[in-house]
Amino acid sequence: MKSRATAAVVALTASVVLAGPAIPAETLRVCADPDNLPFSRAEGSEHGLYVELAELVASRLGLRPEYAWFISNYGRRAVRSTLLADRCDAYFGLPDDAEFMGRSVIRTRPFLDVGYAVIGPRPLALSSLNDIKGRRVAVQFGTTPQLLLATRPGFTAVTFRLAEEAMEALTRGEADVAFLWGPSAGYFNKTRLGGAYAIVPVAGEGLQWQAAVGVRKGQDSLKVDLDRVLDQLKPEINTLADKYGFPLARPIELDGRRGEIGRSLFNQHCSHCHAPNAMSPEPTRDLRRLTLRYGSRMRETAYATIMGGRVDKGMPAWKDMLGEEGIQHVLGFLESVQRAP
Amino acid sequence: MRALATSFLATALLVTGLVSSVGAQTGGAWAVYGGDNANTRYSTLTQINASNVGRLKVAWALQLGSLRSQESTPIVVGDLLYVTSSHGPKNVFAVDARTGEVRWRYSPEVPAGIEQYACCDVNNRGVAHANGKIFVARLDGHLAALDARTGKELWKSQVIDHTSGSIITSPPTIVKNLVITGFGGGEFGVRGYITAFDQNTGREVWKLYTVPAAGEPGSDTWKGDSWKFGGGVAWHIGSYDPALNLLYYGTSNPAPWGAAIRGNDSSNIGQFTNLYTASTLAINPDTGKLVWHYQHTPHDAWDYDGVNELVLVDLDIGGQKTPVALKADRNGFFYVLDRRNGKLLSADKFVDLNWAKSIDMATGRPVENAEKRPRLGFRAKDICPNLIGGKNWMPMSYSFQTGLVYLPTMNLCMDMEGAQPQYKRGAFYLAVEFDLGKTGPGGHLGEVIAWDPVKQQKVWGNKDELPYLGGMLSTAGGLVFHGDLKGWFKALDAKTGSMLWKFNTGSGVSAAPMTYELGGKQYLAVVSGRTFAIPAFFGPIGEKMVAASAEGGTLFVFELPTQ
Repeated sequence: MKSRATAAVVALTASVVLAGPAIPAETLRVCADPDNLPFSRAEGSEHGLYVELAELVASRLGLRPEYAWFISNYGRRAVRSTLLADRCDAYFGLPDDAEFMGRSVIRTRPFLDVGYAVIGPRPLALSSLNDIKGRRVAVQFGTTPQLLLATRPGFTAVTFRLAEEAMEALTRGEADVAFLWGPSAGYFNKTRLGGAYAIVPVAGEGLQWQAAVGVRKGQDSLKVDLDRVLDQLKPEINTLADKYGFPLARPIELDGRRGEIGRSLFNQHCSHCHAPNAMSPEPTRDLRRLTLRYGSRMRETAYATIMGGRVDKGMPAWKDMLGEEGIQHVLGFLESVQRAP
Repeated sequence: MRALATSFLATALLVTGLVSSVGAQTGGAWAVYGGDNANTRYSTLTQINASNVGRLKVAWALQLGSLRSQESTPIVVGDLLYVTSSHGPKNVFAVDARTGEVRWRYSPEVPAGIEQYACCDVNNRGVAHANGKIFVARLDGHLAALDARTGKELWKSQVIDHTSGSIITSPPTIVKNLVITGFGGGEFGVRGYITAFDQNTGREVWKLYTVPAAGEPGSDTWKGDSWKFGGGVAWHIGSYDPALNLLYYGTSNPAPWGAAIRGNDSSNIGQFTNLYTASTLAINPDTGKLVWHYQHTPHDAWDYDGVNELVLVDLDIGGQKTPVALKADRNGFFYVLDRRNGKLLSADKFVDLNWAKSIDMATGRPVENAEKRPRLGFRAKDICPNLIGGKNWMPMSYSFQTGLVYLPTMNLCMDMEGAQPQYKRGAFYLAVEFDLGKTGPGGHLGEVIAWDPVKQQKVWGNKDELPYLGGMLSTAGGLVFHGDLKGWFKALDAKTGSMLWKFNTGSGVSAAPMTYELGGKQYLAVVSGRTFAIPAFFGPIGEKMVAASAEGGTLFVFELPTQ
């Protein structure tokens, strides 16, 4: 990894080889923004989560990583000018959303949850959006939180051009809390503020997303390779996310709507064993203890159990009854009732 | 031949004597982008006329050294012609206006990757001249002054940081000892302003924000603190009336596109009109203070920039000779404003449009069709015109001979709504989403029209199978000149629109032509080079635009061959 830091990476648009010690003949051409920490950076000692992950992925595939750098101020244009122009083959960190770029881009399974977060001095108690009502909330221009606060009465946004400027305003007391893209805020908090602020990821429409690797239509075998390797690299991805300060806690459902549908479904289908509103007095059936029990694996464990059941313990499979969407609602509800560790 | 030329000159002088105080003083020169500070793009020259235009031949050509999206109109001062290429500009040329021989070339260093900051391509529309200096507004947000004889850079001042997504594409406006410019873009968050610099030193003399700050008059037209990055940039050419001592600029759409952040996100606009975006501004050039404003599209949700050039002429309105400003707005209405005070005199549809029913003459505001306003979570369908507008930047021309305005119009519609996934710089968010590639009523995509600005009606029209027709020139020779996307450069009969001559330049022509006289001979000049970035917005229509011609970058100059 050391040799990469010394590689001469100057031109913004040229493909630049970041050579490793043993140089395989075949390359993995990676599309990346040259100056966009914590995601990617061409120069300096830190290269960002997506670049470090690309290095690991290439290494597992026995390929030599090579980079096409392009500033992604205009996201679709960056994808068109790099990935779709055949200047690179793998764009790390595109939204796992079929609407984005249509059919010209195919995506791996998502490898990371990313989203917006509320940032404030510790302790930061947050259970709904109302908790920041009436406070001065620093937001970034053109982001979902700016839109969200503008469309609800009683909220006061203080708008900044960059997430970093919003964080600085928070430290100067020009805002009471901030509502920003989690990874940007987390990285700033970690590298500049010594982790002084609490960062609480929040969920709601347009607030939580999943990042995938985009490849060109037709590159199906590359996609299969990437999926396999990304799956193997899950522990390393978590380590990298932690290194760059990405907030990893489960998001809090802000508007409660998903939780409300989930509560209703839960009370119809689950309450005869797990008690209405999940308030079971029997610890083994008390689903408010899932996070205590499974920690960061809470959601995937609960998801697998609800989908497939645990027939030997009397828990049926709910896949056909609730469907994927219903299960997500129930999970949203369950997350909203978890006991603090 | 000489006698003939003299008689033409006499005719030209006669015509000049009839025209208004602001317009059409071009004579043999063409010293400013729009022909004059009134942007009439009308020439009094008559040597080339309906009887001989069919004999036009290429006198010389100049390769501009840069491909794609040429939008420049040359200027001629003395015996030199000054022209810019796209991309920076990559090149500014001073050439002998008779032969095309290069006298000097200015090739500023353009920051690598600048196209990644330019919203709508790396074009440049030309230079301005005053007091022995050439002024170049550059993509990198700088304004430079050059010695007109040598091309030596005399000073350079920053107008805006281009990494904020703001770039400059239009020539500045000259007023007295000032050189004045706005800038374009601002997709990443900017509050528009217009800056005046001293021609000699490059020092800033005044700066006028086009969006009022909290506490200033008009700031209550913005919800919350949305004024801070409210857009309203002045990216196209200004106009100047020396008699009234008023400078005129149009301003762009407000930012961000999603109107919910800026106001009610509804046809019931209330107080949140978002001043002074999508507006015409009249400014006192001595102080930089706003004198009056007229807002064409309050609380814009369609990206209907109000930047289109203002043409200043004096028209007979109700028996009164009235100083007016004409504007064919992106929103599809042709406005006639009293340029002394901004009073609306008339406004009518110059293209098929449906986002509004009419302009209320009492309030000056559009009467909106609510189902054609895109809103958060509501997809408005088949909105006409689309965001490129009934007319885009390609300039129109007013003929003092016919009293008509000649303008390149577009016939495109769109679907638009408030929230779809977007991605930039590692972050995901909800953004306005649109489908722009919809053909308007009638099936044609463009049309050159001759418009009577007094009666507010079309006199003739030439439909085209492609959009993005080029800017216009009209002359006292009874002619109108313009180009098209296929690369044809055409001469039309100004009265009927019938085509009298055409020449294939080999690449699409969006730039407006100009004409000048030197040594008793009239020349005609046009820059060719198809728009590059715009077709990407239009889906299958964009594919037709790209197929129409290849990228290019050539200045063609025509003359009548000596017999």
